[in-house]
Amino acid sequence: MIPTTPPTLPPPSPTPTTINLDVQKIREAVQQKVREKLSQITAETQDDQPRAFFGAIIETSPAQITIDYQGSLRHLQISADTVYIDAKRNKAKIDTLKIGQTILALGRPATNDTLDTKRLVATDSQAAKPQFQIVFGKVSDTSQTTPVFTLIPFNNKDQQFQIKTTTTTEFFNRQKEKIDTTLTKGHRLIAVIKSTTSATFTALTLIDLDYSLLPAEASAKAGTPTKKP
Amino acid sequence: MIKELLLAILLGALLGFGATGSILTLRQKPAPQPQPTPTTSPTQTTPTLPSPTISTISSTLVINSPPNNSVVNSAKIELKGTTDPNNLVLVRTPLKTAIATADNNGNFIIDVELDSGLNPISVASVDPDTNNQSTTQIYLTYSTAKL
Repeated sequence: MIPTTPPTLPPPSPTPTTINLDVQKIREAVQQKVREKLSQITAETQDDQPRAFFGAIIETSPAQITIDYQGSLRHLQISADTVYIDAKRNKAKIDTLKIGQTILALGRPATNDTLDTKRLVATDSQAAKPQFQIVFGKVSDTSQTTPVFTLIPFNNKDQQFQIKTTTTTEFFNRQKEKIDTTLTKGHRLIAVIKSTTSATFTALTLIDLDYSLLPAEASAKAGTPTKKP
Repeated sequence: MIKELLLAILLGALLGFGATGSILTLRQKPAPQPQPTPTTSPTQTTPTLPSPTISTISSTLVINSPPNNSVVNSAKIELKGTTDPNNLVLVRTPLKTAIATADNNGNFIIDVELDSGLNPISVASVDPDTNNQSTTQIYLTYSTAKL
């Protein structure tokens, strides 16, 4: 008796699964981000329009100064045309520059990381740091006695900002119209804030996205959960 | 004589049975069977893993003009970029906050005011309907020096 191979059933036709669709969405989102970043980087280096880089000096030579620009090196080509302005805003000799000093270099790109430098300006290292933050969150608490409120950002609910308003704080609604200064618990705010020496931030601009809504509508809107990963 | 005959028969039988047995044993070695294709019975359903929720916190936000680290020779410039359609866009320079709304294609143009020298600039894009947001940082230098 000759053994026979049992007939095999045709494999089921492939159908996209829920997981594949989500993976595809993630892949597309990542590709979009990469494209955006690449176009940004390309735009920065594509033309020979004037550029400025700042950072601490890590190496000097008669023809070139190297600085640490946000973790990457930038080489500043020095020529007879290069002018150095010191901290007192006077022209000074380039050979007075020291390792560790923060400078702002202006010129035109020679290569991706080299600048044909025309101007060097002594700069305070703090001047290059962003002074302001833009925070988007929900008002969780307001004070009856002081102009301080608490804002919990949507992108980090474990964090909270103590923010004070001043006479110069600008208030806007969602339509970018100026409004009065009343803050409501539960409202969503976009806050432009500045660090102070204390733990409290100063509000420069506040946009109340729920200002025009009735209280019940504002609570419902602010309570809408955002999707988490 | 009879003894020899019987012995011959016995030996022959042994040889015959041995040969037959070997042949049968070789024939019975199973041929490689094809792997069975997994099928689901009509009553079974393929279990699906819970779909991972994708973070929708982040909007897109790109500053197209001027490029980061540019030197501009005017204190008042136009900042151009792209983000999600109809998002609110905020730009904070060392001097002022500027606010704009992206159009239906996500494009925005916003007038900003720069301080002399290096300007660290914070930019944020917010979707008021979904609470999605994105932030970025650029540096522009305002200088009238001939470069």
